[in-house]
Amino acid sequence: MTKRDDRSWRIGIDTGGTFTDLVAVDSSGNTILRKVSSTPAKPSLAVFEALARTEVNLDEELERFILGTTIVTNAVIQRKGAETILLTTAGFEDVLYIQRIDRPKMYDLQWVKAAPYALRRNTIGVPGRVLADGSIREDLTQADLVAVGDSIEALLAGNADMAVAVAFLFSYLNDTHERLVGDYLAQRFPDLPISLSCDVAPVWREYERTSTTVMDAYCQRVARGFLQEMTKGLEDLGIRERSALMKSNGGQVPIDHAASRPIDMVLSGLSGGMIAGHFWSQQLNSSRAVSLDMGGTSADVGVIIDGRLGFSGTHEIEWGIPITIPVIDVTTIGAGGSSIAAIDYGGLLRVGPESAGADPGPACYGKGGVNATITDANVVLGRLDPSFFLGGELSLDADLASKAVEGIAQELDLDLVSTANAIIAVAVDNMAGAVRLVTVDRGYDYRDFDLIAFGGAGPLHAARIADRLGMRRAIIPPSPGLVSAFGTLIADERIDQRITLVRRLDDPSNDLPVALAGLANALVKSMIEQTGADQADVLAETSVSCRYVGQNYEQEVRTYSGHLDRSFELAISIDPNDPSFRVSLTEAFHESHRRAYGYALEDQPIESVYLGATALIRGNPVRPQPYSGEGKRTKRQVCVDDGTWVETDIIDRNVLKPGDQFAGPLIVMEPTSTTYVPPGFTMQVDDARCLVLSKGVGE
Amino acid sequence: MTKPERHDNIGLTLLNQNLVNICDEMAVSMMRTAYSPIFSEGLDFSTLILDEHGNLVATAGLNPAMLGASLYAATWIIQEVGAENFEEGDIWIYNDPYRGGSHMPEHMMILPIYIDGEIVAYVGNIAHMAEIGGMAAGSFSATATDIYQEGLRLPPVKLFERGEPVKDIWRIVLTNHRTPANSWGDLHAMLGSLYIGERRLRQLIEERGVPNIRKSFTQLQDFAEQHIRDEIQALPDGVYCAEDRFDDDGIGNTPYYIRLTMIIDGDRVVFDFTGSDPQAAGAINAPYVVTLSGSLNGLLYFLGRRLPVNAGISRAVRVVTQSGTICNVRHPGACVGGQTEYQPKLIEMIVSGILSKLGPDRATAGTGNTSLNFLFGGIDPKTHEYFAHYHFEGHGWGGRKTLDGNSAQIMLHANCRNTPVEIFETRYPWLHHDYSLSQGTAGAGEHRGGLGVSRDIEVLGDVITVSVLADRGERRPEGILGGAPGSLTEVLVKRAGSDEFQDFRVAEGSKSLTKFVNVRLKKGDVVRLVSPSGGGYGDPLDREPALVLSDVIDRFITKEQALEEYGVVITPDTTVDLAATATARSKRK
Repeated sequence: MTKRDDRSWRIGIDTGGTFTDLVAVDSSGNTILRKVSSTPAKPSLAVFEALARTEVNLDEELERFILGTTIVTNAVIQRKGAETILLTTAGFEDVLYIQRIDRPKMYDLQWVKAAPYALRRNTIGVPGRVLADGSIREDLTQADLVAVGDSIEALLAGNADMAVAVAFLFSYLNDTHERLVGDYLAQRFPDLPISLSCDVAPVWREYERTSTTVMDAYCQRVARGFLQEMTKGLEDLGIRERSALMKSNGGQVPIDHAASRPIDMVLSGLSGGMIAGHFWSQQLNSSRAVSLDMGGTSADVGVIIDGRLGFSGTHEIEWGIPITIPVIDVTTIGAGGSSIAAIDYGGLLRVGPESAGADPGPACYGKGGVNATITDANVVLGRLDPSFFLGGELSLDADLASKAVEGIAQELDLDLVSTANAIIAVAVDNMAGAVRLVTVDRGYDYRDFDLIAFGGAGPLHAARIADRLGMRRAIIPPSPGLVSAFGTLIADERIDQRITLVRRLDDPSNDLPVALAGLANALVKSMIEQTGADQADVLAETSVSCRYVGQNYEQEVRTYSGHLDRSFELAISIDPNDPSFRVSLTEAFHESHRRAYGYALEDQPIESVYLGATALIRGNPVRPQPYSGEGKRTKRQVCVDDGTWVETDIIDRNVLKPGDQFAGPLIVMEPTSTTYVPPGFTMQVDDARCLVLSKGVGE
Repeated sequence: MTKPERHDNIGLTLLNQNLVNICDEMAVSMMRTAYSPIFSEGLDFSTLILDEHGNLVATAGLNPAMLGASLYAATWIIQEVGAENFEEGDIWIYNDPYRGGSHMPEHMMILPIYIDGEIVAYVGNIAHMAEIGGMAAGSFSATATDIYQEGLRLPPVKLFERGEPVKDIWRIVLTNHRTPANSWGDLHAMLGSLYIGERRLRQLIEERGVPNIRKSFTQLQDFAEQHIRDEIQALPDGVYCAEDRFDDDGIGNTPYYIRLTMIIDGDRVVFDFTGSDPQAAGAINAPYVVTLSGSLNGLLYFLGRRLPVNAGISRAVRVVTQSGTICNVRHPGACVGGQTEYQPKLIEMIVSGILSKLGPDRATAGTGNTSLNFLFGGIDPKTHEYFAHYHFEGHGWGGRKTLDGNSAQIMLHANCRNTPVEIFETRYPWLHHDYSLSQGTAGAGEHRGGLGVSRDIEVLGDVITVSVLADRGERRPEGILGGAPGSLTEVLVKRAGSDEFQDFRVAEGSKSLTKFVNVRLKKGDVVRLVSPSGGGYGDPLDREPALVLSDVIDRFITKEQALEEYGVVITPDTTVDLAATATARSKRK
């Protein structure tokens, strides 16, 4: 990566369902914010529109442009990808229909199992069988290959724009047959997109691996089309080589390399927020934090533990449709500003997961919505200023909000204000429940965590959620509504890989360290090829997921982090010649099991299940300075949590300076969000201009 | 009963959420640390919070089959042992179906929570242990004729006393299970989950104060009771009957009938099983809690609403059974199959048999509805240690008013996951030839049944002993409102060297097609397990021809079936011949 001094601007864009957000920051922190309407029919239009509206001279002043996009996400969710042909081991063609045979909730006779992304009519069983030890029991012959090719040709006659996914049993142990098919098809059908499970997700459990591979194939044409559009436009602007895309793993990839595994883009639009949450936790020296990105329809929850962002090996597209690739660890719940309040049974109040979306949106949008939403409740309570929503771009109708909430109030036999407070209380508890589970699931106590809240709706509820759980502080970063876009421009370049390798740690002859070192080396090499970086700039990390022999779930143990060609920072040497590897790994696993579940089984044998490796180049942190210093202070009546109306200070965030301290109740306004500081809370402005909310009086 | 003030509801809603969250945390811990796939993949367990009297206050909704036992798990111990004999740090365990349990594999653990020397609440869990000894590996002996053949029976005993393990109990348990290392790991998973529950519940009690918690626990139960009564009140009063039967009990050749009279009377329901058959010699009997569980689960499906599940809901329901019948087994009758085969029949009698009369828009046609328990075990040639596995299959749901039945789903009374082929073959010496939907078998209907699954597995080791406890070998899932019935359970074997599949009656001389134990299979033998497909809903001649065509293209049915079963004529180039279809259909109407 060449860097010229005058190229000091970095631009991040986050394309959402309604708006496309742009954040540009230069090396001294000068900040430009832009918001344009999204163009779902052709998402690249809004991206180029936003780029055109910055004053940055792209050719001369741009260092890097990074895009987070929901194009693949939407293709998957709206089922608008390519019709996909699935090749399975013969006898297992129905793997996508059988799934895991469970269901998401009880007592619902009208539930419908998730429809497969590749239909049975497009599924072909292929001879050849690998066994559980990786040996081949039945060969795949040339005649078999020709027959498969002929079947595919027949399917393509009906629709030339299909894609192919190949997922055979035990291919994570032995990929011979998948590669044979892949090579044969690539020759015979040069334009046909092909995804092999041994490339996409070499991990065990055939349903999850097949589902992942099919999803990759399903997205290939959409991703290709979008990337061609983008590449051409960026080429015209002369910035193609300086452009990158966000991946599901929270890293960025040069746009020229983005097409190789489209499934890596599934969480592209979401990971910016997670990265930014991590960034702000570092700025505030918060080593344990939960980030909460609460927008219009949902809230995305991420976890930072000991200064590190959480990653996961699996994600669900919808209930029952998993993908098993390294992703940023995010839990999404149906709680956003547009989440609908309803009476569940005989008087129990429920909020979400149903959402009024952006259209019609909350009742107060005046676009025909009649259901009471979280946003409506906030309007009723005076916490949102109807005339200054999205900086005044949208004006809210307070009467419509009251009318909608009144409907719920009548059913509950409560007054309007108590009902609005109850809606907020239930929503807060839903989010608190999600925060609680994501921390506990990883073996941590949420009371040791800070809450970093952003997105348009996060700062309104942050203090209450933190209070509900007894968390340390609630932190509101600058420009909360644009935090996701900001996250893209500070992301690392990152490649992850995860493989299944089951080995007992008490077997002195096992090949674990060799395999681990090999995996890390291969990724570092790809990173150098992809970016042209010096090896000295590329960091490697590895982990081994282990369990007691007999258990079925594993705990990840970090083993190595550092430069492969230099000394390492921590943990466990993965030098194949270092005999301490097995002993150290064993001890570290006991410790991690003890921390998560309260006990360790010291005399039980341990086995590895997954090996993970990451190659990364750290992004350059910058601090945005979006606040001008000019703004007003006013007062208005705001209803606080106990239902009383209080004359409350309303402060424009532009005027807040580091070191300022205020006592709640207080409302902080800015174009992309509103922060509510309840009575009994203190708000401090820190050096990075984050708002830090904590209970009690300040120091 | 005092009805809570409406504005308390918000506070109760939040408390209920908090308690269910704690149960979820307990469940996650158990799932992630357990040894048996039936725990960790199958999620065959429940986690509980109970009030000071042992009444259920909250549970994580994992396995509703355990609902009945959840209501009795703690109250039984309290009655038998006396809470005054508990001490801080005790953990009690038991599995006796003659003391409030469902069947012996399910072990119940209870931990009393003391504040200032007094019990304020209990946390508990119930989990299916994969192997507990008895006459067949996997502890699911279809031909057991008394409970002493079904495995190690534990009355309430202390696994921990004042925080210290009671080593003698551990030694007895681990000596009598075939795979003690698994049992040891699973018991630790259960314990870990209790400790997490205890920690969280203590926090909550500290936050809210003991008097408040006691009061709220009572209110939550009243609240649940009031809501289920409101729901029942909205149903028309009446007397409804349904009946179902077992093919046989694995010992004799005669069917066993379950007969239910459901009486809706104002805001309560009576489930009366008078007239059901006397208890069987084999293991298909149910203890009372399983009948209670099936009745409540059926009712909750029937209502189709999300209700808080705690002891309050059982107060609106009365379950009448006679001791010594298949619905309320008398000691020492065998009963391991009551939980897995009998309880789902109850649910289906309610959601299909009765609901098709009372609320056909919400009813389903007959579901496949057998767990198809397949147990196997043997000595691992590499380690010389016993291995054993408890396996089950999904089946097809019945068709519904506007929807086809789901294919390959676990029973309505459970919510377990299957074991992936890649994990199955890594752990056990079997080779799968095939694991697929059993095509062509769905009950035809305007909305057809879902498909069952078919699995062919070959023995790779030298010797494996297999046992089966299933049903539906002779009676197909019913179609409703003109729909055709679904298909039968098949359990077949093809001996090495032969090319013919035979049922176990022919091949092994077993009394029943679907219930036998300890058949020794050798290397190269192949077992075929086929689970039933669901029945159809409505007249197949009313099915949208495009849907029939789609099923032909996806090879769920053949062209011949399209014509025979649905009166739809498919042309050689795979389109619907609308004119010919109209003619074919009008002839048959």
